[in-house]
Amino acid sequence: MNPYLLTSVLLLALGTVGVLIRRNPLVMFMSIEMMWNSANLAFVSFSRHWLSQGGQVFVFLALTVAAAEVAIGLGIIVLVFRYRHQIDADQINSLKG
Amino acid sequence: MNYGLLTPVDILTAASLLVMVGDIFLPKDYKPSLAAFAAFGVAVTLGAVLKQFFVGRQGSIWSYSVGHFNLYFQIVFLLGTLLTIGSSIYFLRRGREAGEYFSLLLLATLGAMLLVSSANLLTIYVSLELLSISSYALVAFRRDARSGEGALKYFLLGGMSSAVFLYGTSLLYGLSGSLDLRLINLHYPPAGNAHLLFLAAMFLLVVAFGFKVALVPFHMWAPDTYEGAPTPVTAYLSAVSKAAAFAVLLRVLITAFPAAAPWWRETFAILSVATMTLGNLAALRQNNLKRMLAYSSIAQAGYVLIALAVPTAATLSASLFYLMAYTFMNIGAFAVLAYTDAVTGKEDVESVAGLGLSLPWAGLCLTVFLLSLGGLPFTAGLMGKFFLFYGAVAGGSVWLAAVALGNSVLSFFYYFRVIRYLYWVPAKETHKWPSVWPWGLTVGTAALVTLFLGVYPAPLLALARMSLPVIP
Repeated sequence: MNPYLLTSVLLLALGTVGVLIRRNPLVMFMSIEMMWNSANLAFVSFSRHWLSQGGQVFVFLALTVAAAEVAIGLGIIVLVFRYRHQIDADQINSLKG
Repeated sequence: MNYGLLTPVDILTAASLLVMVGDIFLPKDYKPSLAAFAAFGVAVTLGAVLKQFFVGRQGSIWSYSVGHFNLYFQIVFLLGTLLTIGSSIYFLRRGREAGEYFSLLLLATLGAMLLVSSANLLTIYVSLELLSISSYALVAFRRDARSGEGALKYFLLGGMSSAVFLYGTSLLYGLSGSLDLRLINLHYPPAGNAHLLFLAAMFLLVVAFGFKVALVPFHMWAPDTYEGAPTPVTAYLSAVSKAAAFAVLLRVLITAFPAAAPWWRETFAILSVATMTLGNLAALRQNNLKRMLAYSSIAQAGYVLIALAVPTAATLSASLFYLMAYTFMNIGAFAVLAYTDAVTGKEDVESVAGLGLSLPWAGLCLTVFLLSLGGLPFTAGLMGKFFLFYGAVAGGSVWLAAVALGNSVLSFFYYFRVIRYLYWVPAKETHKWPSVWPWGLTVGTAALVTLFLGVYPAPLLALARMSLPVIP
């Protein structure tokens, strides 16, 4: 197993654990970013392995899309914060049933 | 290069950008007219797609493919979008935010159209994100605490599902050296450990799309998001976004993984039973109508999944038929709710009490939609369910059909409860019901189509048979 792929799997695992156990939406979001980037790392190393450019191009687009996602996500987090003055995911529970 | 194949998406792109620019430059009083422009743009796009479906040239350009399967789903999305626009007008009655709202709606539809036509995992990813990101913004559109909460949950889980999709895609790229669905198919089945990795990558993709379709156990976001979102947006998510995710699931599995069919068929049989049973059981104990319909739409997705559990020509065409019928009946039901919510300010089942008497036509239409969702005679829902269950029996999966039938009977309980409130429970307070013709037209058309497809389903079924993906 290639060390780059090992790193990517570790990052994915760390990100998943982060989303599941952290309760602050900002930190959860950071963990999601980590998961995205673990996939990006895998793409780049596979691209190297196959000597093709497809994976590199994918990473460029994935980063751009992630930037758009950040813009919307932070907007939503600010919106929630404005009404609740707290950003603990366990407290955001007015919708349930 | 046959650039003409791109005409429909070109038109829709132009329309969404024009709505966005119009929002900036038009004076305030003219902004409500952007709704009409958006509807016009969608209608022209629909015309172009219909032309391609019936007479135009088909084929593919780069990784964008145009065939009957892709076009059928594009028609479903565009009709769903038209109905959503019609039911949004009263919700946006001040109309100041119309530009932003409708351009997001059109961009989401554009994402769905590109999604179903992509033959490459890269374009699938980008169009999936176009659909998702626009949906996050639409869910948060009411800008209050509940809307924000629904959007936050949708966004966090959606971000996680797109990470899962990305990782699955990177594994597939690593295993096959290609992002093209058709080329990935050629690398399957590899020998030894690679086979397990291939299956793992496939299941990662199934999880990512399953999240979008809101399959149990990836449905946790759906009830909260559907309840928090503005009601027309809920209608859109539960019909168009769901159909888009189902279409791409179908396409990816059938184009890239036909040889792995034994694995995914078993998986979907289990997912289908879990989805319909859990959706119906949870819907039984809801008092909030929007939340009840949210669980009901989870259950409906369970019925459609029968097509993936028993992929034969009969069930696949039935699922295509059902998705079209479902678009009309589900958006119709949500459209009535959008209006009663806006007038009464309430979302619980009491908000429609006595509606059958105080507003007979709307009450009648809602009754038609609910009966159709439950699957009673003379409605599109019964026909769709009949084709699906019959296909399952013919495909040799009698137990799946039996479970689905039991579930439909179970679902009568909560649909009939609403109908009881419509006609037999008097309203506690009286409301003045303003007349809004675009809304009336939308609801009336949806109800008529629901009835028409229930009485005369043959033409649509023939179109659905024409639009099958290649069968494994």
